[in-house]
Amino acid sequence: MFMLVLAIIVGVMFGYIVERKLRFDNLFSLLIYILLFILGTSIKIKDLGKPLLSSLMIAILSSFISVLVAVLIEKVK
Amino acid sequence: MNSHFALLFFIIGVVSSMLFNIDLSQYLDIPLILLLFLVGYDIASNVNLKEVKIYTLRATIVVFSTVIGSMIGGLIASTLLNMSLREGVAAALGMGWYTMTAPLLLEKIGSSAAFIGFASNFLREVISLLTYPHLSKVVGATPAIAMAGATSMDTTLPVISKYGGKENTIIALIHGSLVTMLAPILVQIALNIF
Repeated sequence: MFMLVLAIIVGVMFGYIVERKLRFDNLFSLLIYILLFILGTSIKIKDLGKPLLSSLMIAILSSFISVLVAVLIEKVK
Repeated sequence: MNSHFALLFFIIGVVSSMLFNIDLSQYLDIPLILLLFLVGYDIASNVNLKEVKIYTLRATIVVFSTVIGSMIGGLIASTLLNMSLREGVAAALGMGWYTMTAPLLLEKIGSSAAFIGFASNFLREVISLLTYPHLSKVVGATPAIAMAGATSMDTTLPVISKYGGKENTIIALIHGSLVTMLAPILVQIALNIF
């Protein structure tokens, strides 16, 4: 965890030091594609039935409950 | 970054694994750390400090809702689906950031959990893109940002900008940046606690 948080903090500091002069958009996309490819190689297709249903349920509940909490806080405020 | 390409590369990985019987999961660390470095750089590039001061409080309230709502969503989904709380809550606390959540779940739990981490957060992004235009009219443009989670600073930002206006665009940027910084920490905490 330390390395992950450190990477973000160093990135933010570097961003302010170079004052947004460098663009890394292509590298950013490339890294995401590499990560997803690596991730894909670790998945076994025969095990995907139940996880897909679970994923959909988690996505729907976490999204809509987040909005519900935000609406409640706005009303209380 | 194009979501369709992201899904395509994931599918190519799954197909490669089936055809050539390869598993590259031990090589996740370096691209993940580099990606987080670039995310930090992106945050510094996109968020203006003057605007941050004006909208921080409103954005922080939405961030709080996103975190609490995601956690409750993960707890309810885990209970309903009879799956481990560790898996469900950690996946939900990825808050839309599938490229970070899935590798962490792969390292700590396994490939099935990694798939849930990837798919649930990818679906959250898709749901946000599809429903924000309607939901923003029903509940208000600011609370509806909570649904987008970490994606409110990148992939869902154009939709938020179009239907929420300039003020909500800045709130979405700050919200996305804060959620992006919190998500890796919260996923790790969930993996250690549950």
